[in-house]
Amino acid sequence: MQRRRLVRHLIRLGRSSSSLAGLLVVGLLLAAPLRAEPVGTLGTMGSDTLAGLMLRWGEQLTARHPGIRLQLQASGSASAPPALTAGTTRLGPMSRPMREVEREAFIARHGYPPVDIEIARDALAVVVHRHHPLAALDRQTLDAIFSRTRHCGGERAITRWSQLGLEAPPGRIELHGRNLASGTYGLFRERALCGGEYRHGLSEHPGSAAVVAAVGETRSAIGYAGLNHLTASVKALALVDDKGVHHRPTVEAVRRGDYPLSRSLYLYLNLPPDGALPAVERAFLDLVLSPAGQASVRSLGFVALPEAQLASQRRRLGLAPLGDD
Amino acid sequence: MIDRLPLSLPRTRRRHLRDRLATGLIAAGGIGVILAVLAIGLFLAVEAVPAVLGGGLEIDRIRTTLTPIAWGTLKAAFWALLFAIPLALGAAMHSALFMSPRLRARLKPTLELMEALPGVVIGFVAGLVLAPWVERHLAETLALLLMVLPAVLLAGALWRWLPAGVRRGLPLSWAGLWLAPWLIALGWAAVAVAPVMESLLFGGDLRGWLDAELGLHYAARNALIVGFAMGFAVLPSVYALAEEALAGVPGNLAEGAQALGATRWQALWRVVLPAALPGIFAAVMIGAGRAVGETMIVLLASGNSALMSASPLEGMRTMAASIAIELPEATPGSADYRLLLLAALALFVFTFLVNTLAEVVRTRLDRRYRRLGGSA
Amino acid sequence: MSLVERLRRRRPVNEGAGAWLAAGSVALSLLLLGGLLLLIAVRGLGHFWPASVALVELDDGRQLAGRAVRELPLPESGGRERLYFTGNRDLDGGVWEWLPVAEIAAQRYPGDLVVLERQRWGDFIGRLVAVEPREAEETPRQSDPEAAWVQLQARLAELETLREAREALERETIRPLARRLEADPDDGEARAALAAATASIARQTAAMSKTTLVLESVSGDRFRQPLDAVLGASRPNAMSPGEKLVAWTQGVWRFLSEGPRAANSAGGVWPAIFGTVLMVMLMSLLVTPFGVLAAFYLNEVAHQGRLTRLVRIAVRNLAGVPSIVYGVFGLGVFVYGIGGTLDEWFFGDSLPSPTFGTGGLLWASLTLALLTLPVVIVATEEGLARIPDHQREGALALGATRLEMLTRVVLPMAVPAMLTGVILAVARAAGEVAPLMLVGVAKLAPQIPVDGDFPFLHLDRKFMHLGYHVYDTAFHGDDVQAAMPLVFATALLLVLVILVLNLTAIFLRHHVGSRHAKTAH
Repeated sequence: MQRRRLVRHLIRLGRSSSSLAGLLVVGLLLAAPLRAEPVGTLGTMGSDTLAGLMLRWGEQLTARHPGIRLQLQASGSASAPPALTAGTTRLGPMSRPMREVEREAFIARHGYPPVDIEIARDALAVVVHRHHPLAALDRQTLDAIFSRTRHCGGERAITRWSQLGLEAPPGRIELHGRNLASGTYGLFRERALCGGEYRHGLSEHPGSAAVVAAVGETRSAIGYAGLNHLTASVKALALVDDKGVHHRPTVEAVRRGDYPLSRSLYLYLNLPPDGALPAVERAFLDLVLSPAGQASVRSLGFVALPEAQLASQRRRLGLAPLGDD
Repeated sequence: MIDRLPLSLPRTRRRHLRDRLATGLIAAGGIGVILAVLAIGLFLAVEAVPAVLGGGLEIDRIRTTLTPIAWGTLKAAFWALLFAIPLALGAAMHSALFMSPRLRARLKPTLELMEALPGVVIGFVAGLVLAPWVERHLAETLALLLMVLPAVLLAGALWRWLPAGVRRGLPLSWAGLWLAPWLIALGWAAVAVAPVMESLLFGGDLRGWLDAELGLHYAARNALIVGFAMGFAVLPSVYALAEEALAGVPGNLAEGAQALGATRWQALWRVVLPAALPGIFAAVMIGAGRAVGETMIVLLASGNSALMSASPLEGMRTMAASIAIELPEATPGSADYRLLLLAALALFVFTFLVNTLAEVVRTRLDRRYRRLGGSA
Repeated sequence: MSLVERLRRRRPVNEGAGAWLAAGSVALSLLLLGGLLLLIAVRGLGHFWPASVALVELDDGRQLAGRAVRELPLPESGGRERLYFTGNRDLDGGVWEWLPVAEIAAQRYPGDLVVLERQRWGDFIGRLVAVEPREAEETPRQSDPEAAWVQLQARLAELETLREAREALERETIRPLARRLEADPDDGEARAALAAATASIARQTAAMSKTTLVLESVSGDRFRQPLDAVLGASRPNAMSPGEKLVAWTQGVWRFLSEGPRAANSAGGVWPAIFGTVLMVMLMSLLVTPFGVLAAFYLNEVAHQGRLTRLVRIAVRNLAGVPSIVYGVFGLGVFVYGIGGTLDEWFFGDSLPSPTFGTGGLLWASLTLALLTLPVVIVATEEGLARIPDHQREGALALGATRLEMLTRVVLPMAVPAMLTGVILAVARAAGEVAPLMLVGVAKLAPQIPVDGDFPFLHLDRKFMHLGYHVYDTAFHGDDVQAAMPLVFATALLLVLVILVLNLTAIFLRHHVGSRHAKTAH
């Protein structure tokens, strides 16, 4: 009950916070070391893949530090570098590393490079309808299905499932993917299409969840989406490497680094080399690179970072080592 | 005149000074607002045109990027209008000439509500509910589409042979309402017989039949779905303008025709419709303008595949949708940014021209009515 | 005269097929509209009804508990399969399960199945074994689910009071202090008070996490769940229809009054409702004076020549320009142009963090005001043109100046037309999403742009919008299937908000119009 009274008192304090009595109470309460409580707005702009994770972290952050306000925008990884360069945001989550051009544009404007922080790992799963007979695909076939250039060495374009000797889904293959701005689009193009061009018929969805939903409704469809978006309506295919080994997109495989379409997820930060990390961003990164933050990573279906990497990144950013909290 | 009034009292002088000042302010404000509105076209032109002329954008790149989305825009608009125009014009004819005034007074606000339905809601239902349903029930959908015309005609034929008492209870002037349950009932029947029809005519798999016999690929998010959804969004505005044009035709024209022995439909078809044709044309143009620029429906229901295919069963990608998803990501001043601004400029110019055409035709129409001596 | 002939004579004139087809198109349009509204209403409102949870036993002896969501035919075998929402993401890795109907041996609805709404990992569906303090090491061998359920209810109620106290503390103490600190980072007193308040919150949080639940899924996995991550608990199979109705009402209320949770996939939409309505109101405030000013200039002041006629046609045509084009203009001119410049001049010290150089409430309202300006201008002008010239001449003849004539005679008579214009503007603006995607909506901005700190209305903030929320949850969430009911509910709400805004405006027009009619005659 003492707690209740305290709360009530603090409420009164907030209303007339210049009262001397208030100061006295505060003084009494300050048994805990006085840490500067961060206040301000946390604005981010970037990856749609990371949107859910950023929202979770945002919620956790405001629960810890109620003085922080959130403004999160997610429309694709490609939106982060322009926003960082133009200065419309300080934090840009991206589902792929920054390209050289984007990096140079940033340096040209600000005079120093952006700080990159790896925050989680993820993988792209190639998905088909849950009743599709296929279980695995090799690189060449995957490329021959998705691309019109066939840089990975497929012999002919594959537009029907019957070309793979399957009887079940009749008709043409329907391709589903992400829109141009997303990091997922670029990553799949680089890794699965060997840098080639997508076929023209690809449906470009504004979100990974929409890809999974579309593939889950259509038997002749194939698509790709982040690991965390998979549902029971679709089946993730194993990828066969050149030695004939099957790689299933599982958390363990991604952590080991075996699965070919795995990737790191980044947070880019606009931080002058001599400048200190502002309190709000500091609090956010402190959360992200902590066990509690990485637990959110797991609960959303992404793959958490190993402890050692957490520690080294914290050191780099000048955050307190883990275990002190 | 006012200026020459004797200004003996200082108060009067002050009043007049204030008057001049206020008029000047209104003029300045008005001109400012109008300039601000007109600045849209100017801004787009200034940002996009120099890049094209000055070589900041390669013509080749413009062609490869803009052609598919321009094609998609026109394709989507075409199917939307194909769906919306017959429905909207039919509804307009019925409500302008046959409908009971009481029902008409209710119908207009209802369709206004339909116009206010946000595109994002229509698009979401079309993309996530309608498209998967249609894909699973292709034969049923076909049956429903084929059913509508005969069902209405059958109702008309049966109606003539009804006993007079029943017929008075179901007058043509209220047919807009009582036909609805009839359509639901027949729609139910059509869905029920569709599987039988599918197995008899198409070997049990319409989709496979389309693929094997006609070489048509059915994509779940296709031009027909988009056309249907967008037609639904465009319908109310076409209806409102067409109805206005039809109801504005001087009454003595139709009365004259009927006095000479024409039925109401004949009077409408041969006399009223030709007189209102420019107005209807204007309505269709306005509809086209809306269909070309509608963003959310296409974004959610079209699949956004940059295909140059004429097949109504495949998807497309439009200019408006491309702008909406890609512009926030483009760096201001970059080639992508200017390309998207060019697309916006194209949309602007197209709709502006179409609307101007509609406006000119409508002004002509007004003049014609006046000449016909009607009290429109 | 034979009977057949008599019958034929009494037949009405044949209007022909055309007349019936015209009538049919009215019926079809109404059917489509009704169907769409019905679909949204049923799916949107049905979501809040606590549906029963089935305990499914399969032929191979496996058991699972979940809610049946949909059923589809299986591709080849001709049977059917059913989709169950089974929750328990932390145990199974997923929340959905497709089961062939033919393999289901039995399906029961036992009353002791518990549904827990949790902050993390989503819903839990299973059995409650015990409620115990956190430190308890061993799971009790003997458990009494009934007693545990009663205990859980009591603990949840306690938790609720604690949460409310915490929220009050956040709202009334921490936020104002944070604003003060933002304005003046050196305010030591505020910093100390804030640290104390945060410390007290941390203590409360620790107090809340003292209890854990022992839970068991129907397949027999047992685990411990901290109580403070549990938001609500229900036993839908044991509820009477009356209780379900109460739960439904509470669900609807929470949806309307709470903020979004769990990455927008759960919780309510209050910030989005507020953002939508506020944005539309701001837009009306901006568009009315400017629209009326321009209309007055065009109709009353400007010389009625060829140029004025051209301008009039141009303005009219702008009403038909797609909204996305206005969005592009807003982004290029307002956000990048004016906003960027404002930031350089006035908010230089906070760069590179932008203040007005990014999308926000002000730019969104301005863009929509520009979008609806032609509508207001056209409607007001039509009203002005209807006012007979002798009214103006009479006023002038009695010695009024032009300003007096305009404000005392013309303006009052044009009010209904102006309001019509604003109604049309509101109807058009409330549902627009495309331009907002470019100039200022945010995925999550749980703090509404109005609060108790100076200047009270924060025009630079991003805001949430119902229409964008529909788009976002339907396409950007983690799981479309899970988000669908919420999307439907949000869509229904958006339609209702638009309806209410329209009706308000119509009522206003009627009210003002009738009062004016009395004074005019």
